[in-house]
Parts: sequence; structure tokens; C-alpha cells
Amino acid sequence: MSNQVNSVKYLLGAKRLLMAGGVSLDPHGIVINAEGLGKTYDGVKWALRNADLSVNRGKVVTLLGPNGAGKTTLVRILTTELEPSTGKLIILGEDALRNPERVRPRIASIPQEAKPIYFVTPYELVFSYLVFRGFSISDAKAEARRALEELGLWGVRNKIMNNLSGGYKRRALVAMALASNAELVFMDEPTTGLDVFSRRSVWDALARLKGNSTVILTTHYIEEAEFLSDEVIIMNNGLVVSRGTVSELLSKVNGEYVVEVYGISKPIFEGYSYVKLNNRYLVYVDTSEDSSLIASECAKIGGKALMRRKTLEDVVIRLIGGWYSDEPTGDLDSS
Amino acid sequence: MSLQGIWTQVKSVIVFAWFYGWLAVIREPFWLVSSLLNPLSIVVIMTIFGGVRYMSFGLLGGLAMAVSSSGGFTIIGDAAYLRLELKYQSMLINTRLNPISYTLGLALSELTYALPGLAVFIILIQLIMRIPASLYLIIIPILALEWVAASMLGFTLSTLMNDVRYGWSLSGILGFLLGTLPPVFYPAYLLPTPYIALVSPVSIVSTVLQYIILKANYPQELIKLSVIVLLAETVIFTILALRKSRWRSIY
Repeated sequence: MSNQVNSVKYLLGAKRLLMAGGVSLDPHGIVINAEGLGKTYDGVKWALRNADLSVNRGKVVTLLGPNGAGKTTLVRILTTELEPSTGKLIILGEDALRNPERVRPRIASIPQEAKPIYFVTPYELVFSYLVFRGFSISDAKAEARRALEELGLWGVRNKIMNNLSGGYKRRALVAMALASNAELVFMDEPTTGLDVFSRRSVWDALARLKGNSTVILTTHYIEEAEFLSDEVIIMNNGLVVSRGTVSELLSKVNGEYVVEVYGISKPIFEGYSYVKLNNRYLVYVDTSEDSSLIASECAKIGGKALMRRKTLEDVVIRLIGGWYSDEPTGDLDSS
Repeated sequence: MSLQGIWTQVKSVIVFAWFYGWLAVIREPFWLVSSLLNPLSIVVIMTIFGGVRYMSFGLLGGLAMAVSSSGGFTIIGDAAYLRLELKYQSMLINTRLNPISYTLGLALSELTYALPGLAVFIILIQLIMRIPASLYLIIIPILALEWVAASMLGFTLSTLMNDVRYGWSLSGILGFLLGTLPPVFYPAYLLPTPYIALVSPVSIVSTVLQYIILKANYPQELIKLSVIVLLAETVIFTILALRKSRWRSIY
């Protein structure tokens, strides 16, 4: 059976190249090239502003940002579902705004809050999706099996969705994208609501896609972005705030350590870089001595402080600038 | 489109009907019974008050209503549900399934779901009215036109919904406005003018069925006009659905 599946995979790979128009595309080529993408629904407020994007083949790129940052709007435009108000978009070498029908069969997307039809089984869900993607019946059966096995769903393949847990349902959706062998895969918050075990199973599946497919992922989980991403794009208020590899982003914000301070009414961090996050402050410092100094100063005025090494989450918060725009932040790092 | 492309679309429509229609029939039979009860309950009341003569009108009306209701108007709720609640339409955008095939697949799945109910009506009609087989050559195309018209109208209306709850409500309202109020279950000649039957594709079909099966006393012009209006509605609703079923959204 495994030989059979391997030969199916080989044939599907060859088919995919043919679907790409018979052109042997550069494996390191640019898959998405967007310039000045913008979207306004009412002509006044912009959900997405002037987004430039360039994504290389085979990479996993994660969009990070708070709710309303514009991540889903950007993904809906990139999947050709939503028409942008401004900008140009080339996907897989095709003008995706003029000829979306040439792009669509070559990409797969699992939207935010997508749910499977409740009266079908995981196997039926994935199988039918593959037929809609143009697979033959026999290829659809083989690939559905492969994807369900990879995501640990083969044992529940004949159970009706309504009788499965939320984790299984979500993984069944991910299996659709995994089985598709699409050149470009979009997953909008694929692990939201999953327990730690299910989430890691999805991570494994996404990690396996890496290299063969280009994956655009949106998530609220910073550790997910750290684990999976070749590149992270940070968005806020419809703007791309910053982008880079995880290590590049970590270096964009000063300081090796972060002191998280709460229980004080005014910032007392003269000379340090900081942001206000709801009712607490994040102070970015270079040494553990600085951390200890801030912690002891806070303790004198009744505050509390936690010290730790800087993480990607601290970087995202710093680059976005905290939660309250009316509250002044410390000197912003130039990045 | 190449032959291979056409086959992909045909295969997808059939798989859609299996997936969303047949699987629903075998796994959700309660809905099926419930959808049958609406037209049947009207037939029962008409039989109690009007006897066998009016039962025949009721059964023909029930058949016309079942084609539109189960096969067409429910598409409003289902299409809105798949688009807004499950985001299933968003997933299918990035497949080879084109908007026309999606609409047809959805309509065919609704018809598949309605088939057992339609079979009940056809069996009852056959038992009571003993229709000659040759008449089915007229009846089936008329019902097919009604199904396409109602499905396309239903899909077009579903694209206007921004909340799935409105979709289910609108199905019920349309069922009443187009399938119960006009002369569907009763003869149009009871009205000041039988031409009122032209207001709805369901009453058009019911009137034509009454004319050819029960030999109801309608002017020939009304029947000719009924067929013309039904054809025109089918074409117009199909064009509207195809325009509305474009994948790209501006919202």
C-alpha cells in the first residue's frame, strides 16, 4: 500500500507541475508578490493599508497581530476571495486580480472560523474536497487516506463530525489542505481552540507541508509562529509593522531581558525602553543587573516585577506599541 | 473549456449532490419528514373540507410546492449556512469547482434530498388520478423548469443574506408568499381572474398540472402564457444566480 501511495504522490507531484502551466518554476522563486494592497469597506476606514508582500516558494510565513490588525483581510485578498481597493497582486506568476480563476485551483485555504459539515465523516469531507480540486476518484481516496493518517484521524474516519470533539473537527479541516498538495496553502488561525496535543499534531502536519508547499499562516499563538515560521509579518491597524525571521525580529527590539511590572501608577523607567500593556508595563533592559534594579525600585513603591529573557511575544508587543495609544510609551526603537 | 474540464465539473456536481444531498437523506431523515409535512398538511385539510375532488388539487399543489420548497427555497438557508456559518464556500473558492457548478451542485443536492418526498406525492397522485405515462413527458420538463427557477432564485437571494438566520426565515416567508398564498393548492378559477396564477412559478406549475391532469377549466391563453412566463423566469433567475455566484466578494 505504501508503494501505491508513493506512486500516487509522485504522479500528483507531476500533475501539479503540469497544472502550473508546464513551466518548471524556480523552486526558490517568488510565490506571492503584492504591492500597495489596501482595502476599505466604506471609503473612510482602511482595514488594510498599502501592504507590500513578497513570499518565497516553500516557506512558512506567519502573520501575527492583534484582533482587527488586518490579517484576515489580507488573507482573503491573497486567496482571491476579496477584491482589494488598491494595489497589485501576482500569485504563482499570475495576475491574481485579473485572472483569479488561474490561481484558485493551485492554492488551498482554510478560513478563520471554518467548520466542517456536521453530518459527514472526516473521510467524506476530505475525499469530496479533493474531487472538487480535480483529483480522480482513486487519487482522492488515496490522498484522503494519507492526510487522515498523518493527522491521526484514520481511526475516526467513519465517525460523523457531530460526534467528534472540536480538536478532531479542526484537524479534519487541516487534513483537507494537507491532502490538496496545493502549491500555496493559507491557514487562518488553524489551531484556535485546540488543546495542546491537537495543536502539536497540526504543527507536525504544517511542518511536513514545509518545503513542498508555501504556507501562509495567521495565528495568535506566538510559540506557534516561533516553531513553524521561516518569516514572521507583524501587523497592526491594517499596516505591516515589521517583518523578518524570528531572530531578526528579536534583534529589532533592544534589550536581552524584559521586566514585567504591575501595581504602580506611574512609569519610573527613565532611560529605559518600555510599553504599557493594559495595567502593566514591559520594560526592555540589556542586563540582569538592570532588571534587578528596576524590580527593587518598583518594590519600594508597592509594585511587583517579573524578570525574564525577551521572547518574540515581547517583540510583537513592543513593535505594536502596547495596548493604549493615549498612554505615552518610552523611546521607540528604530526598527 | 476542455472535455476534461467539463468532466471535472460534472463529476464535482454529482459528488456535491451525494455529499450534501444523499448523505443528508440517510443521516438526517427527520428533516425529510418535516419538510414533507408542510405540503401534506394542506392536502389533508383540503381533503377534509373538499373531498376527493379537492384532494387532487391539493396533491398537485403539494407536488409543485415540494419541488420548489424542498428543491429550491431551502437553498436560501443552505447556501447562506455554507457561506456564512461554515465558511465552506470560501474553502471551495480555491478548487476547480466553478461558481456555476457550485450552484448546480447545491441545487442538485437539495433535489436529491427532496426526492423521497417527491416520490410520496407522485405515488399518491398516481394511485388517485391514474395519469397515463405519456403525460409525464410534459409533467417532468415543467417540474424541472420550476426546480431550476426556484433554485436559482433561492441562490440569488441567499447571496443577499448577511446572517444565516435570515436565510431560514426567508425560506419560510417565500414558501408562504409563492407556494401557499397564490393558487397552488386550490384552482385559480376561484379567484376574480385566474391570471393571478402567473405571480409565482409554483402556482404557474400547479395551474398547468391542473389543466393537463384534472382538465381544469382554464383559458388556453393562460396555459400558453404560463409556460412562457416559467421559461422566462428560469432564464432570468439563472442569469441572476450566475452573476451573483461569482466567487469574488467586495465585502
